[in-house]
Amino acid sequence: MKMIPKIVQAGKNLAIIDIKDISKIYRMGDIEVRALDGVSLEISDHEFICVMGASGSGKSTLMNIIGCLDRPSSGSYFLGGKDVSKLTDQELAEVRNRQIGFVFQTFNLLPRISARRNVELPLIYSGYSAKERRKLADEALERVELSDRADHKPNELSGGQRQRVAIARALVNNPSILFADEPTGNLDSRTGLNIMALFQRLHNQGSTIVMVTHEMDIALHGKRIIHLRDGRIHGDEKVKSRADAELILNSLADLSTQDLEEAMQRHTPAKGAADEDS
Amino acid sequence: MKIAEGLRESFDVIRGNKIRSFLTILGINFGVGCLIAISVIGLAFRDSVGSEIGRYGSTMLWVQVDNSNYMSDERRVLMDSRDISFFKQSLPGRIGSGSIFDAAYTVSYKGETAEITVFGAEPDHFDMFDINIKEGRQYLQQDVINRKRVCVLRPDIASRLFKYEDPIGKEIKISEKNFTVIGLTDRVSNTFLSDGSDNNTVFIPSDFIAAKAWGGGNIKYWVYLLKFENLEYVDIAEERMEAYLNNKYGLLRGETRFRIERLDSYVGMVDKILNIISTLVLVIAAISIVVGGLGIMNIMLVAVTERTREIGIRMAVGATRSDIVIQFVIEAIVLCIIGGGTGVIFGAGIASIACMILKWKFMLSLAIVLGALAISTFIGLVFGIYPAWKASQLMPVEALRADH
Repeated sequence: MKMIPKIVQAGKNLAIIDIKDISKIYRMGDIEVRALDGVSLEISDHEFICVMGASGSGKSTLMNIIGCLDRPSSGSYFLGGKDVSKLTDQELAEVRNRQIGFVFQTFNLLPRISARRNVELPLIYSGYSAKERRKLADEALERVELSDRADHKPNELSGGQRQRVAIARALVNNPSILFADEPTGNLDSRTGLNIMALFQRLHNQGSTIVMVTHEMDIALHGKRIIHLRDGRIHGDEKVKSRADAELILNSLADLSTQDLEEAMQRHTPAKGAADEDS
Repeated sequence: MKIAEGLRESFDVIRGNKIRSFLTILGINFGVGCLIAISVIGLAFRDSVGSEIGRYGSTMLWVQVDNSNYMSDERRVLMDSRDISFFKQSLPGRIGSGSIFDAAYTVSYKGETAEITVFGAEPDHFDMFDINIKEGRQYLQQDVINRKRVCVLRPDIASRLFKYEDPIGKEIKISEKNFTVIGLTDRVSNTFLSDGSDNNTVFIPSDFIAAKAWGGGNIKYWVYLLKFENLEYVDIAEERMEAYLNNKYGLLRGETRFRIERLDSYVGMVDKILNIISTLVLVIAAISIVVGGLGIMNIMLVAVTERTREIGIRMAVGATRSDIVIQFVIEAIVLCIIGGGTGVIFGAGIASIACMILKWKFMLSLAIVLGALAISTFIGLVFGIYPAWKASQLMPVEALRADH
């Protein structure tokens, strides 16, 4: 296997992602749909960038292209100084394997296998031995605080736990960039906050994060917001007052854990009745 | 992707889709089972025919009047005792010879009577046709010279005449003459080659029938059988007998009056027929395996469509196209090998039952087992590659977009 060296940060403001005039055109019969229409964008190392836009604005298409899951119809894309359009499918797969970690709205875990084996999945394709895989996967699960759930299958986990497994999978090969496509879209707001706190922590630890979302309060956890509309960039701004998910969560938690327990005790009349209910 | 990983994935998938995997495996199982059963039964059949012929030895040769060269009302020229003495004296390597005279006679003992075929056979006959004496003894040249009226009974006629008594030493009447029973033979089963006797046959020295048939005159022979030590002697005998007979009796309108036939040429013929049957049956088995393979292909195509999302996920985390191909091919091969392995057991089971019923020798060679497994693997490879290739041709984003 040919190794693609990890992107090295040469200068402080070196763009890790550099796209120029990217278009993506879908054909549906005679109709031509421009999902992306001349998008140019630079993303530097150690950024936390949120791509916003209504549904159909092309934000997921943009994400898929910079995440090397799809190829643009035209335009140039340099990832860590390398022209992606010149890479073979094999090399693209290696880029996805080693430089990119993906987190999806629908988690995209394999249902048949345990959390640990889901996390191990990228390592299988990088040729690690079973022993090394297990060690790295356990470390990644520890980073997302899910060590105790390693042997559970996805359907035995809650939505937030599944997303954390997916994040552990994205992290496990120590990628240069973390992509997240509506990572909180399928979660309740409290769990979503948990996930955002995790992303902020990872960012503080040095990860570059690109996130797609249509919710402003989620986007505000990032450092930079890009607005997309009809396949074009309509705004690119720095976030002035960044939301700190951990803080919000703490203030919520203080209030509600106690309340919740009291409420549960009040509304659980007897053990037998509750069992009948379920 | 390493093979070990692919195997692990395959077993997960098979466990996850038990019924479907079971049915797919069954398809291959039947195909391979058929192939195994057929080849084993075929081998056993061949072996049984071989041992049948081996019992008589394929070194037998007989000469008989060639009726096909005569007109229907034309007088046949038969061999006489001088011809027989020539055969006995001038053919090297002879280990037995004789003619057969058979006649329908009434046989009786103490009021029990039966109309049966009586064989007039020479002492050598018992050896040439491998007739086992179960009780008593066969008659010998000595008995023939002394014109002893002795007989050997097949089991059915023996039990018919002697309900409660031991037949050995008793006198029975054959065509109003008394004969002493001196031996009982084993039961004969259905065989490919036989002297024409059955379990109701009585053997007596041939002179008694021959003399009667020829009215006390010179005995003439329709047919004469000879057995030799090996095939080289058979070659010599065939050549000398042909020359002798043609020289003595002359040709009939350019054709021989006597036909010399060799058992080994029949063996070759049986072999040829067996080969044709085996080929036909193998073609059928091959077709059933291909049908099983198509089943695998169908299932793998369904699996690819159904697991497009999974393929997308794997590609998103770095699986290359060849990783995907390898995974699906391994899965197909695993299904085929499980099917083939159980098929070997299934087929061998059927074959062993068949061999038990037919009393043939059951032989399962390692070559057949390995061959069947190799064929299964090959089928998995051939019919797994297209679906696997199809799976790998998607862009990850397209695969991820697929509905569950």
